[in-house]
This record gives sequence, C-alpha cells and structure tokens, in this order.
Amino acid sequence: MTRRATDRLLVAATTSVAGVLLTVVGGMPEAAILVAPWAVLLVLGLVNARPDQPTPTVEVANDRVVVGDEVEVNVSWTGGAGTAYVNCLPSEGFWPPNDEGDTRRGARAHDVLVRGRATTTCRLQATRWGTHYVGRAEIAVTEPYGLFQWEGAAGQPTRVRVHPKPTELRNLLAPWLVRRVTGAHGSKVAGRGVEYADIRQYSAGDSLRDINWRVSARSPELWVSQRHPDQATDVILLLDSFVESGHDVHAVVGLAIEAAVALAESHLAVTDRVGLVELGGLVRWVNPDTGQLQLQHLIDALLSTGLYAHVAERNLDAILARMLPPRSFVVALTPLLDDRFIDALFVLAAHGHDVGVIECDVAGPGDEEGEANERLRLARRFWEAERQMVRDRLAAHGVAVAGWRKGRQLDLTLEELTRRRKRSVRVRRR
Amino acid sequence: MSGKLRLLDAGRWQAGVALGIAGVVATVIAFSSSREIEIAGRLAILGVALFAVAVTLGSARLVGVATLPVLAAALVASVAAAEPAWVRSIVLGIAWYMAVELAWDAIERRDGVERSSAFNDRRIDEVTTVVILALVITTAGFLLSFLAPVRTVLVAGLVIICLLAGLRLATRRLQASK
Repeated sequence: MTRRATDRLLVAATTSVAGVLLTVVGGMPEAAILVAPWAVLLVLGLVNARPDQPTPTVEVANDRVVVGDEVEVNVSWTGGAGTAYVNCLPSEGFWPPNDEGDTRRGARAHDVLVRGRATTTCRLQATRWGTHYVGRAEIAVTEPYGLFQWEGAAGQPTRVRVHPKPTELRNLLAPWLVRRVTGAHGSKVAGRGVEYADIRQYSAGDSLRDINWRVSARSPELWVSQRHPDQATDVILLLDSFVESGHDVHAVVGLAIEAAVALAESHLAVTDRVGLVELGGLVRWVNPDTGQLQLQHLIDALLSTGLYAHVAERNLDAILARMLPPRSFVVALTPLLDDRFIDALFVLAAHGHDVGVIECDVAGPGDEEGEANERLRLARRFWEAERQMVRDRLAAHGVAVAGWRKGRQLDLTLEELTRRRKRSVRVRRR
Repeated sequence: MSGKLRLLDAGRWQAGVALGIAGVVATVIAFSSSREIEIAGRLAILGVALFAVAVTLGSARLVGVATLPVLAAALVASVAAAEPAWVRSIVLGIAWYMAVELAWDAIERRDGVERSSAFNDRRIDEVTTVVILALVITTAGFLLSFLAPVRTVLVAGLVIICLLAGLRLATRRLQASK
C-alpha cells in the first residue's frame, strides 16, 4: 500500500499558509480568522497522522449462494487507524451491465479502524448464475482528519458458485425405459409395486397380501392383483451450449441450466441416476450417479458451462455412443438452433435412447420491434416455419419437444412434454 | 440524467445544505461589501458558482478550489472596513468550512458506499472538533483585540499567538486522551 496526501491537505495547507501570510505581511487579522478552521484541520490532521501501514486480510464468507443472495467479503485489519474504504471487485460477468454498460463495478463499504482493529464487510448481491471469482478489493485507509490516505489492492480471487433459484417440480418426467433398480417410476412389466397393473388367478407362492378380495368374492377361485414395480432410471441431461450469434446467449443457456438443476434435483430425490453431457464449445460429461454429492457435481459442472463460439464439426455420434449408458432417458435442453446438436438428437433416438426435448425459447427476428415492420414479420414467419419443421422432424423420429420460456412454470412444460411423449411413443411403435 | 450529473442521488440533502450555506455566504459577502469594492461580490458569486458546479459534477478537488475565491472575496469585503469585522469573519470562515465538508460528504455518498454508523459518528466528531476549536480560538483572539488598537501588528501577533496556543493546547489534550 502507498501513502499519499489528499485534496483535504492541499486545501487546508494552501488556505492556512495564505491566511497567515496575509495576516502577518498584509496586516489583515481577518485573513487568519477566515482560515482558522482550515488551520485547525491542518494541525489536527498532522498531529494525528499515522505513518504505520494498515494491513488488510480479505476473506470470502460464503462460496455458494443462490441468485438474489449476498456474497459477504470480510476485510480484517491490523495496523493503521482512521476510516477505511473497501471496494470489492468481482470478476467480469458477476453483474449484468448497468445503464452505462459497466460490468466491472464493485461493492463498497466504509468503516472505522480503531487502532487498527476492525472488520469491514462488503456485500455483493449475486444476480447472475455461474462460477465467479470474488475476493479482490481496492483498499483506501484515510488517516484521522483525512489529510493522508493509504491506497492499494488486497485479496486473492476466490471461486464463488451462484446457483439458479431452485424450481420446485410437482411432476417428474416418466421414462419409458427403466433399470432393474427400485425407484419411483412405474415399470411397464408387472411385479411388486404400488400402481395397479392387472389381475390373474392365484397360484402357489403368491402372497396373501396380493389377493384381490373384491374380485375373489364374486368368483369361486382366488384372484390376485398385479402391480407395476417402481424402478429407477438413468436420466441424462443433454445441455446445448453451442453459441448462436444474434441471441441473448446468457439468457438462453441460463434457462437451460435452470431447468437442468430443477430436473437433476427432482430425479435424484427419487433415487434415479442423473448424468450430464454438455455439447458445445467444449464437450464435457458427468457420469450418471445418485445422491447429494452427485447433485453438487452436476451443479458445479452446470455452473461452469462455458459459452464459446465453435465452428469445428465434431464427431458427436462417436462421442455420444461412448458417453451414455445404453437405453438412457435423455432430456435435452436446447434452443434448437444448432444443426450439430439437432443431428445429435437424431443419433441418440436411433441408438434406442428415450429422448425428450425441452426447447428453451429464444426471441426470434422482429420480436422486439413488434409486428410493425413488414420485412421483419415475414422473416419471423420463415423462422417460425423452419423451427416447426425441426420439431416435426424430431416428432417423426419419436422425439417429443415442449417449449419453455422465461416466466413460464417449468411444471407446465413438463406436463406438455409428457403429453407429447405419449403421442411420440405411438409414432415409434408404428 | 447522465452518470455524472447526479445531484439527486444519495447524499442529496447534504449537497442541498452545502449549496444553501454557500449561497448564504455569497449573499452575506455581496451585500456587506461597499460599492467601491464590488469585486468582492463578483468573486463570491464566482466561487459559489464554481462550488455548485463541483458539487453537481461530483469533483472533490474542484470544491476545494472554490474555497480560494470565496475566502478572497470575504477578505476583500472586510479590509475596506475601518475596523476588522471579527464576528462576520468567524461566521463566514466556519460556515464555508462546513459547506465544503458537507459537499465532500455528499460526493462520497453518491458512490453507493455502505457506511457504518461508527464511520458517520467519526466524521461528525472530527468536523465538530475542528469547528469548536476554530470558534474558541477566534473568539479568544477577538476578545484579546479589545486590549490593542485596531489594525496593528499587535493584533495580528495576538491572533497568531492565540491560534498557536490553542492548537498546542488541543494537541496536548488529544494526545493525553489516547
């Protein structure tokens, strides 16, 4: 940290010297009286000046927060005295640009150092999901009466993960294919479970609990109820992070991540194994697993999703074939804008995976300008038609698509997807 | 409103009070100066205009610069009088100092800085100490001036001796309290 004189010292010294000179040389006692407060300030400031350097230590109190929460950065001090000013600067992207387009602003705090012992806290409200770095701070300690100031920077960037706001889901997406592990999804075959499947005649070895007394009472033989066993599944969240220019990429991927976190939480809660595959500038995956630790892995992977423009053609067929467990339930989260990702969906369906698509809706041409511009209206119709063709092509391959946009409840989208999936199964059977 | 012209942001009442005090100071100087020395009034108005611009733009340094024309105007207005205007000089000097402190405070507050109450108390304490000490010293000087004829080296000497003695006393007390 470096010590420097402040504007206050400049003003106090100039006026005091001028006043005293005018008083003595010019014989004008009023000059001394007029500048008396500045002279007093100068003397008090010089007497109370503290040349010992303050040493700040910066610590980030919480490294995981939800959007809307505050990240607390504590600065503790040793040495120095006076008033401290701390400006905590998060990494770029922590805050959205303000009216002036500034994204590098900080959270500021003032406090008093009483003989160098104090803790100053900056609170940074997290408004954007993702992995950010917080902990770097601009520091200024003004000595008593403000004539001198220590300035410098302190702290090391610490990783802070900002989670999207949790979305509670009432319904789960039901997979068509399940594993031979107990879970919460009704299997198509009959066995031990809760959901009623059929009745059949009693045979040796059947449990007395399974006897259907109502039916047996009307018949000379005993009848037993058959039920669908509840089984778990492998859910693979397929995240599209291909960058498409001309759209608010952060908002679109943000929608996808919000949905992915909600789906991961709800499926992990019912002992499903959940994995993640991110296709985009980088291809990354998290192997399917169960439990709270897996949820942390998934969220960490989702929050560090990078948005990189990438033009290279990837051999996605080979990558996906190696990545996914056989007959997985794949939930794709995509704006359906990139052909490579759409092709990957066809490949997955062809490999026998159960695929559903949540289409994260983006603003099309002319959305913001309204319908006034004829050319934009026409462009929008073409654009819509092109997207509808993609949806129809996917539906023809048994892949259902349901749209989701900001402000709409995810549950409604899941219900719509479930309805469409029932239709798509009929298509597949044909 | 653009980014810099933020008079109505946080710290607006401090800025308002500062501008009010500055306006009163300029008015007093302008009305108390005789017609022969109308430069005093002009200087005062120039200083207050500069002060208003500085507060509006949020420039702490410019606020300090505005001090010079205002104090010069007060001095020019008082030297024309046959006898030193003690009370007016004391009041104007302290009023201007408080206006500048308030303006600096208003400019700092605009940055959206979170302030603890201890910080505010400390600031008020410092400004109050300066004002009270200045008031005591100048009042003492004013009282001592009755012992000597006006506009003599003795008066000037007395003022400076009072100033230095008062400061020495204050520093001793402050050091003793720590």
